[in-house]
Amino acid sequence: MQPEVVEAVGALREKGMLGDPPASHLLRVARGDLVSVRLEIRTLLYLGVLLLTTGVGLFLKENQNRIGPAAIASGLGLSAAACFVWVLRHAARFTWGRSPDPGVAHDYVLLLGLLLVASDLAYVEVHFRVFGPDWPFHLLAVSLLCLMAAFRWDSAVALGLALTSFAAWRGVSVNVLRGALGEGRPEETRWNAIVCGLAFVAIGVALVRAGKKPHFEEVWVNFGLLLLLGGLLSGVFGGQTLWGVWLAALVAVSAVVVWRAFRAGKTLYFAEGVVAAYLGSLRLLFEAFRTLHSGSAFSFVVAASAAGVLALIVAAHRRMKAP
Amino acid sequence: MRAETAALERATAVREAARRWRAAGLIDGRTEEAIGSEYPDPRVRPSPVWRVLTFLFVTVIVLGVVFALFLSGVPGLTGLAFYCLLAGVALVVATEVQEQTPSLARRGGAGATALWAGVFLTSAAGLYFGEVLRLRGELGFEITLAVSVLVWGAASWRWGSAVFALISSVSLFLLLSRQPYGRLLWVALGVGMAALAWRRLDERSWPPPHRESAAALLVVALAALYAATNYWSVETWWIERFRRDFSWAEPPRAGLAAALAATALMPAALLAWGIRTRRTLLIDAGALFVILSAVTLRHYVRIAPLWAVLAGAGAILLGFALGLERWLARGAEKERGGFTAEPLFSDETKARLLQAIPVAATLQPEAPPPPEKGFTPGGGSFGGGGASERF
Repeated sequence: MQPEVVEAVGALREKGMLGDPPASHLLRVARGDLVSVRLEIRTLLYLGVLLLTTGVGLFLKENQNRIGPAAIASGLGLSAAACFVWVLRHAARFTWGRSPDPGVAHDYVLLLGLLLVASDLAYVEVHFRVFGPDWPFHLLAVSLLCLMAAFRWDSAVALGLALTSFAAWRGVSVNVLRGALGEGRPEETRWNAIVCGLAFVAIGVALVRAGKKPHFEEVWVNFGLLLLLGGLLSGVFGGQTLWGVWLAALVAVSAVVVWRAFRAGKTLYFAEGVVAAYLGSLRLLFEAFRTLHSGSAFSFVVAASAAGVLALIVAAHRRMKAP
Repeated sequence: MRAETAALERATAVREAARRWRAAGLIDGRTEEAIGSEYPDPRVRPSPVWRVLTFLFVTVIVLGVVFALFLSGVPGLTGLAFYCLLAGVALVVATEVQEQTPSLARRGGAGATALWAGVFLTSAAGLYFGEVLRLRGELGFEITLAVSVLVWGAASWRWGSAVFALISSVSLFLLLSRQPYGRLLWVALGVGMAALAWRRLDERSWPPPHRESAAALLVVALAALYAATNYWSVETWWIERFRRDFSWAEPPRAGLAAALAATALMPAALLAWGIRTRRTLLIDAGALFVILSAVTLRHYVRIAPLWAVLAGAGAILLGFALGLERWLARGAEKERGGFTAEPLFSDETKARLLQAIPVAATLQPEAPPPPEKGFTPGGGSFGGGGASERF
């Protein structure tokens, strides 16, 4: 219950600022007489998909020799088909704009279907070697399938999976928690991340301009910036000789991102640009203070530079259109 | 909490509700503005992204300055303890100044200085009692825990943070676990704290941040109660192991029988309590304990191979969630017993976008390793699109 809101609704109704409806409905919610369990249902669906696909992965690993490959592949295919049938039955008609809300379960059943197809493709690839030495191509196939599903059924979840699968095909892992771009050759992975990132950002902007699924912009651009800035940062901290060039590139790109985000009122892009530029500039400080052997001076300079960035953030917030 | 701040927090609760009503299309922009004028709050309150950004950079500034001064020469552990105390006090003053300045109070900086004030004050106590006085029998550590309870509790009460209340209560339970009959103390305090916190959840005289702290205390108390009565916890002496003089003995049969009943009944009771009172907090806690009890059951009873348990549990969860949504949607006005699956004043568009984050973070495929000499194709693990056996 929210006692302040209960009192406020009563007072606003008396003053004629709130009509009835919606006052009685608002009062029910504020009193706790009507409660939404949408978040709980969403969490259960997510956990269900996570557990089910993990179980399927373990099953394939443990039983691949006991059960024939054809039986496993067709079983997975049938399960995925069942998910897609459910999605088709509950989906709204295709539109280039935002589809009407199909219900909280829609995205998760679609996700389950896509993951089962992905498992099936990977399994088929392992057993029948369709792509031969180019076996990572099955990730591209998964990515394209997810992309089509994302556009057809207006699913940000499917789009996220499409972009991460595409990046994985190029050998890049989109996982900021690990602090690394992938297990491959650093130089190659770095360039792949940068090119993927640029492509994602460009596609996101182009779709907005074309008015085709413009609400997907945040998914495209955020994944893109993560890869682009992450790739440049890995150049700054990974390179022994050319780190200055990478830093210059990072600062230039971050400046563009920050400026465009500032003009467009996009706070998240602004934050990503600021944090990336600041992290990169720490390399400059490391190098400058390496010969001085003064931890105290280094700490002071780090604090002072952070204070400078904070002043920039406060000034930008005052002038930016976004809240 | 200062009376002025408490009044502003009450106004903020109404303004925030009005913002959600407008987002849901129940009121127009002019009505929201009028409500804002009725419930004024002069404090600048940026969006969460700005606040997180400010929090991060204030943290860098605080730690940079503290380390710089520390590295310029602090003699011995006594000096370090005194230095931590000074840093803590300075940060308390900084937090107070920000809290009383409308343009700074809700920018995120006050949260950062308050957090680090708590860390440095607790560290000062730990260094002084544990390292400088060298109190015997781990007494120094226990005094530090007691100081942690007080420092974070006071910070929560003064600045209205549920996170600080959570840290304070966890410190209290850790302190109790080191006492004789720690498990019984957990049960007694868990019941008592839950009862007290429950009564304050809707307390009109408490400002909203204090009610949120009461909710945090309720969650910690229920978690402690469950941890103290769980079968695995009783059998392995999980709480008693926090004591330094712990020695293993056969757990009492009566205790195990009681724990067996509690492991089965407590989640169900909590779920029933949550449904009856329409508190999602209790329902969420009950659901979490159901999962933990199922994991406990699986630990002792091998009913099926792991893949079958995981896939079965996943299918049950999916089926239950789909059934629940359908059942609620078919009720009169899409609700049953005061519950609905519809979003109530929440931004569903943003929620659908945000759900891409955990999915991409946990279900993304592994990038394949680079090919090596003598590589034979087909050696990758299953799991395109993230359906790997490796999560």
